[in-house]
Amino acid sequence: MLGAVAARQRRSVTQLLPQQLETMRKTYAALQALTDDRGYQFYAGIHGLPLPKYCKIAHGQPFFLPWHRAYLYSFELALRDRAAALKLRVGDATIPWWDWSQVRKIPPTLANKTAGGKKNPLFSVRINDLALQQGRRDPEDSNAHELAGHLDTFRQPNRPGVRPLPTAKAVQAVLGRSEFFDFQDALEQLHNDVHVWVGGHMGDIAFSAYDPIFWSHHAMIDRIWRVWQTRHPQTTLPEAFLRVVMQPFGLTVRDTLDVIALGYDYAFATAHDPGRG
Amino acid sequence: MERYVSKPIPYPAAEADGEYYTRADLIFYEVDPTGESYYGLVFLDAPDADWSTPVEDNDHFAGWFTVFGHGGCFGDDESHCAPAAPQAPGAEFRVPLGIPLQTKTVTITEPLRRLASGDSFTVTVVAVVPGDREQTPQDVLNFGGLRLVTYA
Repeated sequence: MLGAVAARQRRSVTQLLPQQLETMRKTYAALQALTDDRGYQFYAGIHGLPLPKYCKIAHGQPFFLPWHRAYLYSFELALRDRAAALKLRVGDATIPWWDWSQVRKIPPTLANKTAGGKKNPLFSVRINDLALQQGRRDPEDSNAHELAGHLDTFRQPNRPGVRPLPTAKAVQAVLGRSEFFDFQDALEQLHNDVHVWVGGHMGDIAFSAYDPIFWSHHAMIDRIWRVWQTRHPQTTLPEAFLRVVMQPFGLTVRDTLDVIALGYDYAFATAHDPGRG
Repeated sequence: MERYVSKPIPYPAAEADGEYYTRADLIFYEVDPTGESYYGLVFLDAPDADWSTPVEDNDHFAGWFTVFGHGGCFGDDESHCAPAAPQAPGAEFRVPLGIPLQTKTVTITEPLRRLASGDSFTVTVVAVVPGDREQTPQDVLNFGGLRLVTYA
């Protein structure tokens, strides 16, 4: 958005060019096929199950935004590794954002069960046995126990009793908060609302990161933070806060403040024209 | 608990120039996030509000906070989430254990202004777990206290 040009641009999930969408599908599928600590299961498990969970740092705490920026940064590098291995354009291997304030449903890219005649790797993911086994430790009438009974992620968007997705007006109100921790608290509330609106595994910290929509939701959250940073460039944060090393990523809070230094940025707006073929 | 009704809370006092506040927040302390996800719907001066009370076109509805639930403890026993011997800050560098309580803020500026009459008001919080069980009260609400904070 401002300053130096980042190595890669994250884009809107509803505005991807065909080859960008193809790269997204292929890299997610390749990541899901890996079973070691380079693969999808490893990264999804960091957020919740299998243990450990990073409860004291990731949610409802002052590190919510930096921790998740470090998380997406790590996941995106894993996607880029797969793009390189598949000889795809590495620059296209980024996490696209879902702007739920404008696109008031789950985007087809993430909602369609199939893509190109094959299983859509952005729709649902098989959850590993250890995570399910630990989820079943909860009492039988608990939500986590029920979720652990499903081998694959599912969603229940817009079910009865759910609050609506955050609006553009709500996002602007959050962006208007000038103090970082006040802004972060308000943005985490919007974040929580989207998790609960999507429902299913997304509605539960223990399993939410297994759902591929998780990454696009959090790219939107990270993008809002990036917009806020450009509007509040003079913000100063406590040194003791900036020095904290966030497990398990090894990045400090300070390391996460400059997305250009992390090698990415957000296209301010994206659009495409199908051309003449 | 399923719902909570506060004792009467005094309205913010007027400043000398007659201005009350530009922003009013209800801050909920020690909110327990260990269970499933839920909404805490906040009503002002509606002590009878419950899970069946409409929120649309209801002047008493002031907003909500959302708990993104941890889903449970998942350890071998309960001490996994509430360690008996807390880790000493600064003395060790392991990944901390336990699930800390949270603070939730609901900005109620306009609803509070709308209802400003009398000397005090009550806050009712109704817990709602969306989904198939939405039509029955859920025992998920647990917090330590609340405070009204206004800003000039």
